[in-house]
Formats: sequence, structure tokens, C-alpha cells
Amino acid sequence: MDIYNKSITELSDLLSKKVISSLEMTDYFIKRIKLFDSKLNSFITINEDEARKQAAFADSMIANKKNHLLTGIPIAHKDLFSTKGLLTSCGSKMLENYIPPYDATVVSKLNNLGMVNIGKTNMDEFAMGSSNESSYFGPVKNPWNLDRVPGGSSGGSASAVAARLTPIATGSDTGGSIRQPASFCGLTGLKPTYGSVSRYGMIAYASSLDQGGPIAKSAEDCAILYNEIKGFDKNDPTSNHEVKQNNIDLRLSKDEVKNITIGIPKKYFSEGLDQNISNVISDSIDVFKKMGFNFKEISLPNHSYTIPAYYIIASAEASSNLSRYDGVKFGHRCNDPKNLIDLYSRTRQEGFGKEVKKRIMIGAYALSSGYYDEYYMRALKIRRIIRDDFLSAFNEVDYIFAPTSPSTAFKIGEKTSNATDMYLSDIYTTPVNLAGLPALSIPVGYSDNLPVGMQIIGNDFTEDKILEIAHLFQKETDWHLHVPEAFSHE
Amino acid sequence: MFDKKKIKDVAQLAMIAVDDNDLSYFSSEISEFLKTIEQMDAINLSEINPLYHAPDMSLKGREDEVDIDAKNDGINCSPNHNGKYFIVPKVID
Amino acid sequence: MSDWETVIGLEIHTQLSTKSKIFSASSTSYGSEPNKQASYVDLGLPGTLPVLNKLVIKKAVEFGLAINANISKHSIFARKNYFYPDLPRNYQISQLDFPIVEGGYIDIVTEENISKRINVTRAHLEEDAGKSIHSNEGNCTYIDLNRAGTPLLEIVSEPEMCSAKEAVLYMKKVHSIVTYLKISDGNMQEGSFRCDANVSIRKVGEKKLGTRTELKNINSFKFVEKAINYEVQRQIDLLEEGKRITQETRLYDENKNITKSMRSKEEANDYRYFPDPDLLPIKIDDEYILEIKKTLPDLPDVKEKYYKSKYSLTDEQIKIILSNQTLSGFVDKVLEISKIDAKKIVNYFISSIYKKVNKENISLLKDIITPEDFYLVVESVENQIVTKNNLKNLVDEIWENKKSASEAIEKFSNKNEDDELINNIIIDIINKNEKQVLEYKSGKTKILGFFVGQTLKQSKGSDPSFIKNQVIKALDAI
Repeated sequence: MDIYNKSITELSDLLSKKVISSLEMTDYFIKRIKLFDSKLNSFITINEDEARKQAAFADSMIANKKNHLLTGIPIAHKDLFSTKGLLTSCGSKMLENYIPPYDATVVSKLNNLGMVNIGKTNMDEFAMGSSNESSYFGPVKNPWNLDRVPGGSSGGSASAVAARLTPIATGSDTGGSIRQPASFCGLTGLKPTYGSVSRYGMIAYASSLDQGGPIAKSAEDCAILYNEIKGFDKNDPTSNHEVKQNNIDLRLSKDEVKNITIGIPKKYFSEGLDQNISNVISDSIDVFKKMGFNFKEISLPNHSYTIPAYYIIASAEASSNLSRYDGVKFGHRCNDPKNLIDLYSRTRQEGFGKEVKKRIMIGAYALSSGYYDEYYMRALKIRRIIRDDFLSAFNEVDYIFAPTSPSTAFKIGEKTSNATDMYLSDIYTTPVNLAGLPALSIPVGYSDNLPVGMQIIGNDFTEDKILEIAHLFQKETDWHLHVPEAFSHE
Repeated sequence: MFDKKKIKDVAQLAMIAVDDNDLSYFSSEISEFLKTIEQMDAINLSEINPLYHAPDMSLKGREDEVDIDAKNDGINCSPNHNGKYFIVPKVID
Repeated sequence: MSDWETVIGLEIHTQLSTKSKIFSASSTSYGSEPNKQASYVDLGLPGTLPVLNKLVIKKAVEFGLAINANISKHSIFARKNYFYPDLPRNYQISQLDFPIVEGGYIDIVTEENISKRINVTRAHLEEDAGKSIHSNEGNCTYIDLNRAGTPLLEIVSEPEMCSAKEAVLYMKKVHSIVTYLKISDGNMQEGSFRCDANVSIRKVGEKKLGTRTELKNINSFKFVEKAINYEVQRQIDLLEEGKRITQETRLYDENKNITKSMRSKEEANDYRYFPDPDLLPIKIDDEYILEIKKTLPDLPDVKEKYYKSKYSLTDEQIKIILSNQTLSGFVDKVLEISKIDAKKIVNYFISSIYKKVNKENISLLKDIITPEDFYLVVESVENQIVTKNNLKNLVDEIWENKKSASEAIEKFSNKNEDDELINNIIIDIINKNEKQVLEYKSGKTKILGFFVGQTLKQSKGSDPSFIKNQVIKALDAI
């Protein structure tokens, strides 16, 4: 039956028609995880017993006809979403035994619909990374090529969905952590407008940049999940009332596209972008052109300042957000602390990995007396001009296309010794986070047998539109339907 | 140059113990990082206002009400507590 | 001693009287079991976020208006980063560059009856930390986070006080403002009102400020004065010996009446303040400020002048009335309708109602007895319908037995007091003793003794022959 490759709608249909029960479906995916995940290391925790209970409950919802499209469908959550009673480690030794006493808003919304939480996925420690190599629980492999990274920080979610170990997963995106792994793994991933998805229960990395979102096999599946996780939450003070309330229905028709103009940023396609990737993206742009979309060249002049600004802001916020990890109230605690300072400094030395420590120190430095204006303030000003660049562009065009990453999935270990290289791989994703805008990454082809992703970027709160555009493309193409060879069987 | 003394100072602010190996590692990594962000200096930002949140949002507060359903069992997450208090090594004031 | 002059600035932390905390919906009530009022947000559990209690803004604005300060239209919460176990997230949410209140002043009147204006630098909102309890045997410290997240208003004065006495006057003034306006309950034993004093000295005529020390967390007016006096002398002694003053934090030991250096948790700390990215700026418009201005009562200062000039009330009386806004509000209403001399009626108020109120019912006063009813009661005393001793009984009748003023007056009126009471008793006895009534009706007049006896039991000390007459009247009426 190839359940592993079915869309959410198809799976839901099977459940409604009682062809298969949620319990059977859950067991099916858990079996797949047990069979394949040793190759990938995409899961930190498999939630077998609880998942089966949730599935049984979902089956009763279906039997009583009180079900939703997502009822009974398994989902994996990135291990920074708090799940009540279930280990939430954030990929770190600091939280390797942390059991939250509450659910994140995203998790409880989906639980209430009857989704089945089959497990927590691996990730870069505290979401700081672009390759999922910094996790305390070991690196994650890319299902397309096991020597390669899946991207990060939501590498576990991307790997699990790409290998069809779960129909869909949640991720988080601070500097590209949903889009880049989606791109490396041939998937569709959405970073919503900042403030669209509640951050309550999402373990914080950089408060003004973090956003949760779906990693899925298609734009359609992304839309289905996003419909249910978006919305104002009174427990999140940065949650935005402006989020559109109505469901996304992907109704955009081919007739309407002739009124849509897509902007292509000049600089993006010249400097530093691999030629093959550039060609693949050009080919997909041709597909859009054939569908009737209009294209125009635009300029995002301050693009080159993005990386420094992003890393300063993110590190500064992280340095403060991670101060709470001190061995007193939760998480790791060093043995036999001699005094308070010893308790704090040794707990944190032991609990955090190198990359996290580095960014905490960079952040502390950037905020410190004498350096605040030079680093932090400057970064915030650059943030403004980056956003202004986008807003100006949106005066001329409706949406913007951009590469997701300057490369395809690189080899494990290839960039770990060169941080700058690693940071620069975020060059196309970070501007979107700084500007707070929504962006979707979709698979558009291959380069050297590795997936290539392309971003569709929109103005504030245009998630519905960018998903519609992607959906139209996915009706004309089939990149999103491909399954990595090693996992394309039951 | 982000030297070892500087790392020690910053590590103290960040409350992270660093041994000698770490000192070298962080010193070179952070120096490298600071070099790459020097490009921020290239642009004149004197007329620009910092942007703290995007898109723009207004503060939403809540009414002054006590949530009687709020759980107070968070102490159970602590690695060192006696059910009543969190316990730390004695602090000398 | 006269070579030196003292320079003092005070930082007062007052807990705002809200039901819930500033960034979480936990209760702020005092004295709960340890860590039973500390929610996941208070503990800073991973993923939790601060949500602002709107009422704290209102209270801060009220204070700002009361001291004629500038209310900031755009103020920002900032994180003050440092590590300490009573600070759950190891940062305190406070305000730095854009406090909600800026400027303003407090006028004090010294012992010599001179008015002096002390300028206020700023007042800002922040969250309180938890409590540490140091054990002796256990060699550990216990942390209770109930207090963590309680809203504070930090009020910073300019260094313009010249003596401990002035400092106390300022502190008392601020205390009366915040308690009168119900911004804070000002309870110093419970820690709702705490004071840090910055103290330095310099030669008379010297413009430059001397090195200052900070005396922390003093909880009473008496100790503030003692602590400052001790510290000033300590500094003078040091300088006269040719030594230097170390800029440091010191604690006051009330038992030994000395200050001692504190090994500060905040020594040489770089707090790395930055705007809290979880919180958005507080935007206040003129309309909001105007709304609050409308409901803000006159401050004690203004009212004191009013009471003296219009009603000639005494200082003692004024002090009592102005100790609480509810009391003064009640008295104002009474004075508005009163035809009786104000001083007199206020004395009645103090001897009856004021003596009855306590912490729990003071805010309910208007619902328990109205100013109109109180006036009626006093009027009846003035008109000798009721004796003066019965004033308290009248108030009780209305307060506890929930009777109306007229019913209470009726009950205790001189004319009818005894009669009505006794008649009621007699009727009651008659109703309960049908057998005896029939005996009387059939001619057994000796049974009258029974009725009189029963009545006397319930009305001790009354005149038996009067009772006998009333019994006969009642029985004949059947």
C-alpha cells in the first residue's frame, strides 16, 4: 500500500474509510523507525507506548465521527518543543534528563486534534547549527546520502520525513533551521511570519527570531499543519493578532498567476552560488514562467551585512536565554559543587557543547559594557535596513524567489572545522529571519544527485499565498514526490 | 585579538568554566568570528533606528487575575530540592 | 563635624498591590508555603514566557502623576543579567534607558517647619527576586521563589537630602503617597516597602561628590535614620584619619547598630542590559494618562490643607483620616452632608467607626455602613434621642446586625428603649406559655407572678412593678 509515501489527505482518507486504523498506522511508522533510524539517528526519543494510547484515542474520535483531517496521523516533534511527561532534550546534555511538566502550545493544539506524537527528533544543540552535527546525541545523516548532513538545526525532523519514518514533523527556524534542512532533504518547509506560531513551550534560542513551522513532503501538507498551529496565543507576548484566522485552501488558479510578479534578487544569483544550483533554479523559474508568472529583477542592496548582524543578535539573545541553565531548577547539575560559582560554572561547562558555549560567549561580549553600541546596536540597525530592502522590493514585486542554500548537502565533518564557512551557508535564509517575513523552501531538482531547494519569500502574513504558489508548482512537477532510494520500500 | 585573558573575562560573565584547552579553542574561534563581522563597520548607520521586532507589534498585557489552575509543581524538575525548597551550596553574603 | 556635609540619595523599592505577579498569573499574597506560588513561568522553565500584567502600568502612571513627573510615552523593559539563585532566569526584567516615569519631586517639611523639595530622578518597573534562607548546619542555602516575579516600582531620588532626618521625612512621604493611592500596601514587615540609601560626605562648600556607599535593604524608618547616622560618622572618622572611603555595598546590623561591608553578589558586575526581546515597548498615549488623572484622588498634602482651612480639623484627626483613602473618602461624604460641627463629627467617627475597622474590612467600609447612615446616627446622638454611650451600639447594629439607621435608632432610643424591649419579652413569654395564659384568663391571678418572673429573667434589673403592669396590659389585650 506504500503508506509511507502517502500525503496527509490520503492517510486521512484511509483512516476515515477504516481501511487502516490509527493504531495500525502508528505501529507501521514506529516499525519503520526501528528498522531504519539506526542509519540516520534522526530520533532522540521514540514515544511508542504513549503514541499507541494517543492512536487508540484517535480511533475512537474517528469512530464517533468527531475527527479532523489530522486526527490519527502520526507526527514527530523537534526536540525543542516541550512535551509533557516526555523527555525534551534540545539536543543537549544540559537537558538530557529533562521531562517538562507541560506541553508547548503547538504540541497541545495538535494533540487536541488527535494527532499521534510518535517521537522527538534530533537537532543541533539548542538549535545552534546548520548541519545537525553539534547534537549531544550524535550527528544525523541525510537519507539521500548517508555521508552527508541533513542540514540543521532541524536535521532530525527533515531526515525523518525524507526517509518517510513519519508523515510530517515540526521544526523551528531562527536563521534557516527549517528551510535549509528541507532543502538538503528534498522537502517542503515553512518559516512563518514572526509572531504567527506561538513560542510558548518552544525552548528559546533567539527570542526575536525563533519561529516554529512544518517540515513536510508537500506544500499541501505544510498548509494543513500550519492551519492548525498558527494563531494568537495569550501565553506568548510576541504572538501577533494580525495572523490570518481563516484556513488556507490553496485555491490559486493558473488564470490568476498572470497578475503575479516574482522578484529575483540580482546579487543572490551571482556571488558565491554554485553554478549547478543556479542552473537548477533557473530551470524551475522557467516552469513558473510557463505557468504564466511574471518575473523582474530586484535589488537587496544590504544583503552582505546579514550574516554578521544575524549572528550578533542571535548570540546576544541566546547568551541571556541560556543563563537559566545553572543546575538549580532543572537540567544537568555538576557533582559535588564546592560553592555557588563552582555549581554554575562547572554545570555549564559540562552541560553545554562547544558551539553553544562559543555563541554564549560571543553574545555576552557583544552586550558587554563598551561593546554594546559597536556590536549589538549596529546589528539591530542593519536588521532595519535589511527589512527595509525587502519592503522596498515588495513595492515592485509580489513575492521573491531565492536559493535556500549556496550548496547542496555537504559532507559530515566538512565544515565543522571552519565556522565561518558554516555560518556563511545561512546567507540566503538569515535575511528572512531578520526581516520577520514568511518563507517556504521547496525542492526544485538535483545537483550531483543531491536535492536543491528554492525559497519563496512573501510579505508579512502571506503564508497562504506562498503556499498556493508552491502548490501550483507541485502540481506541475514531481520533485517533491521523490523518495531516497534506501528508504523507498516498506 | 581576542586573547586568553579576554576569554577568561567573558567566560566569567557567562559563568562557564574553561580549562586551558578550551581557552585556546575559544580564543581562536572567537577572534576569527570577530574578524568576519568587521564588515558591519563598512556601512554608515548613524541615521538608522534599531529594529527590535519585525513585523511591528504592540504590547499585549493581561488583566490582573490570579490563575488558580496554574501548577506549582515545577520544583520537581530540580536536581536538588527537598520538596519545599531548591537547594544550593551555601551563599555567603 | 560641622566641616562636613552629608549627601544622601534614596532608592525605594515598593511592591505594587496587584493580585497577580508582573509577568505571570501567580498570586502575590504574602506568607504562603514555600514555592507554592511559583508557577512554571516564575521558575523560568525552558519555553516559558513573561506576559505583562496591565495593572502595573496604571499604578506606575498614578505614582508619576502624584509626584508631577513625566510619564514616558514609550518605555522599554530591559534584562539585567547576573547570576544568583533567587533570580530564576539569572536575569531580572527591569527598565534601564526608558523608564516609565522620569523626573518629578517630593516636598518635605523639616522639623524647623521649612519646606524642602527633593527631586526624583526616575521610577521604573521591575520584578522582585525570590528569597534565600541560609542554613547553618546544612552548609547550604534554601531558595523560595514565591516572591520571584512580584511587581516592584523602584523610585530613585536625586542625591539631595542632607541628613538622616531628611531622608526619613522623604521616605515617610513616599510611603504615605503609595499607601494612600493604594499603589502599594507599604507593609514594611512583609517587605513591601524597602529602602537603599546612598551616602557620601564632603567638605562644606565642596561641589564634587564624595565616594558613596550603598546601604541596602533597610525596612523601617527608625533603622534608616540610625543606619545613615552611623555610616556618616564612620565616613567622617575614616576621612579624618586620612583614610579613604571604599565604594561598596554595606548592610545595616540593627542589633549592633553598625554597617558592615557586604561581599556583594553584584560586585563589579557588567549587567549587559539590553531590551528584553520577549517583551514589546509600553506605549502610553495622552488619553490613557488623562483617564487616570480623572480618577486620581487628591494627595494627602492637598487634603490636609483642605481639612484645616475648611473644617479646622486637628493634626491628630487629619493624620487618622488620611492614613487610608477609604477613610478619608468616607469622612468627606459625611462632612458634605453634615450640619454638625466638623471637628465633633470627626471625633465621633474616630471613636466609633475608626476603632472598628481593621485590614480586612477597611475597603468594604462603604458597603457595611453608608456615610448617610452614620450621619443619621450621629444626629440622633446630638438631638439626644439616643445617649452618647449608645453610639457604638448603634454602629454595631447597622454593621453587624445589618439593620437600617432608623431601625437602630428606634431600638436604642431613650424613650422607648426599656418599654419596647420589655413588651417584646412579655409577648414572647405569653406566646410560649398558653397553659399559664389560660389559667390567668380563668381567674388564677396569682399566675401573674410566673409571667413577671420569666420577664425579669430576661430583663435583669428592670422594675418589677412596671413589668407587672405591662404583663397585665398584655394579657388583658388577648
